[in-house]
Amino acid sequence: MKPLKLRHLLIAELKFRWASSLMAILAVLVACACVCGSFIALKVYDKETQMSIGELQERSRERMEALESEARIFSKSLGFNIFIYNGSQELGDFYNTDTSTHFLTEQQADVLAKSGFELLNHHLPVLRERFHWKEYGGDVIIGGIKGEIFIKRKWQKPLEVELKPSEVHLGHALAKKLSVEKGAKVMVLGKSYDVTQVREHLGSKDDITLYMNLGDAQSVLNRPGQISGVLAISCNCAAGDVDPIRRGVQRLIPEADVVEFVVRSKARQQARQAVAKTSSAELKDISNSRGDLRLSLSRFSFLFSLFMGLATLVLLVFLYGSNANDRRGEISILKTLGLSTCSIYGLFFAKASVLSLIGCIVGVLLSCSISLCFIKPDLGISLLDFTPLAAIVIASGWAMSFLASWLPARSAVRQDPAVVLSEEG
Amino acid sequence: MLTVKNIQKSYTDSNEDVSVLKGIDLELKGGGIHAVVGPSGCGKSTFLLICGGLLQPSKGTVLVNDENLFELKGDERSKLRASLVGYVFQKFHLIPYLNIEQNILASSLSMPNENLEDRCKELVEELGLGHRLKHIPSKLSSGEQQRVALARALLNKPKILIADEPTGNLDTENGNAVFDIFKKFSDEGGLVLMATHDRELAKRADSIQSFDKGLLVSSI
Repeated sequence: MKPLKLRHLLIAELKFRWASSLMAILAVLVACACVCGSFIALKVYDKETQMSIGELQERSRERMEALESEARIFSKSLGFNIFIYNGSQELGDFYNTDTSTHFLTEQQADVLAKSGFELLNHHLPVLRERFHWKEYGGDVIIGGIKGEIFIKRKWQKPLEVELKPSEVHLGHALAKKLSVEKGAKVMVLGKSYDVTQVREHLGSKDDITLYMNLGDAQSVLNRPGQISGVLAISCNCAAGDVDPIRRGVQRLIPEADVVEFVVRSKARQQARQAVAKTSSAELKDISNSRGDLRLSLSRFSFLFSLFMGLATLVLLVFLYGSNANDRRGEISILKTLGLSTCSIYGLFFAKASVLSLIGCIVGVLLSCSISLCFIKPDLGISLLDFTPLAAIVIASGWAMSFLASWLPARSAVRQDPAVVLSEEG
Repeated sequence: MLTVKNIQKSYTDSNEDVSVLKGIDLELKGGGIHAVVGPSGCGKSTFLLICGGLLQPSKGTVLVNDENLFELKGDERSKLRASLVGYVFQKFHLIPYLNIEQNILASSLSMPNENLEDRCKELVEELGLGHRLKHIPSKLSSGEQQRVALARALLNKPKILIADEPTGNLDTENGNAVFDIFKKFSDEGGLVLMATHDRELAKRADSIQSFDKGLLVSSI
């Protein structure tokens, strides 16, 4: 013979009134499953938003990278796009005559190169001047180049080859008129020079340009130490906006000025900026529209949970109340047998707790498992992700059930056994 | 053992005061079986409930072993009641989902520290319920159910047994069996206060307290 404990009473009563116990479990189960499901949907929506935005950002980044790369290739094919010259030089005259009236010096070019100024790359000092080449029998442009005196990264190749003293490159038109090829010799002011390259036909003034070593050009033109300016390539970050370059250069060479002369690279930069702007707007649009929908969903989840909670609370109060009414006789007899108020409260609360915990746990597990079947695997959501939500729903379900049992338990405790037993005979 | 002084009980029904007990004095010392008789509505059951500490009187005192029951707080009174008073009702009031063994042991729930399983075995043997221990009350006859109710009432070895129409739902044979148990209990020093309509049963009691219209009209 085993001693009788309150838990035996609880278990026996649960078995005896299994239908109403099952109803209470089902009420809690359905409520928990629905509430849990609605919040899982919200979580999945958040994850999808996160993924969409991530994908969009990635696509945008790839497009920007492609444009950057394209711009780099493009810029490189265009060659230099920045010209640093003496600010006193009238550019119109320079374009008309191909001859500088005001010069920079080689030392100034060196100062700029040594500064490592980050907005410029590939510094090429150049002396350019129209020259009457007697041996040629007409005017040509002499382009004196020294080779690039600054390249930002070691792995980058120079855009322009270095011309050694006594070496020249001939523009395509010059070579054609002189009928010379690579390896030939030409005379300039009585001095012999080796033709190391005949440049491709470009359809520009480059076709009538005689490229010489800078020192040789300065000697031929009698411009010792002077240069028309420095050709360079602006970094992509500054392309399209020459002001920061100008300010940086003028800090180092106060009398210098800067002009960006390749407009196509500017157009490319503007296109890049437009893409960036469009991507950002698209991102903002998606974020806003999904944010609005998220707000509506969360409002719905909240109201739905509130409604389910209240409906379940009412149903549980009814079920527990009806149970307390069914148990009037037995509670009265237990009170007559000396059972304390706490023990009677305990019987009701323990029953409510057991039923609600079963309902909550099964409901949450069902909801999570069913949801997992419908969630795309690439969202990377697992059962473990629902742990905090499950804990909150279970705790809320338990608290609600506890609350629902409060009034019936109170009425059971307060009932007068004498009245009940007299009524029942 | 049980002293009742000027017990009155009234209640209001449809704005009208109804007086159920109009001042009852009774002193029962030692054991014995005391029958409470009278017509229906004379206040027998109310008197028994007050004597057992289940119903608060409007006026008067109830002393059980010199302890004033209604000066105690609710749970203290329940505890005292559980240890001193046993109840038997006409409709048995067994708990429907507990088996017979558990129904008898239900009295032990208020005294969790006492080992009452041996006492339960003893009562089961004495009342001839051994073969029914694992059955639920609905499977038992009325006589068996009343014996289970008696075993439950006697489990805590009370000093007083209050029985309200204990044989009202039983045939003569079972009624006699119940009375024999009362007799044994009183012989061992217990006090039985029994409300009954059964005159033959009342005659076998040690005293008869006759009630009429809320008053104790005679005590034989």
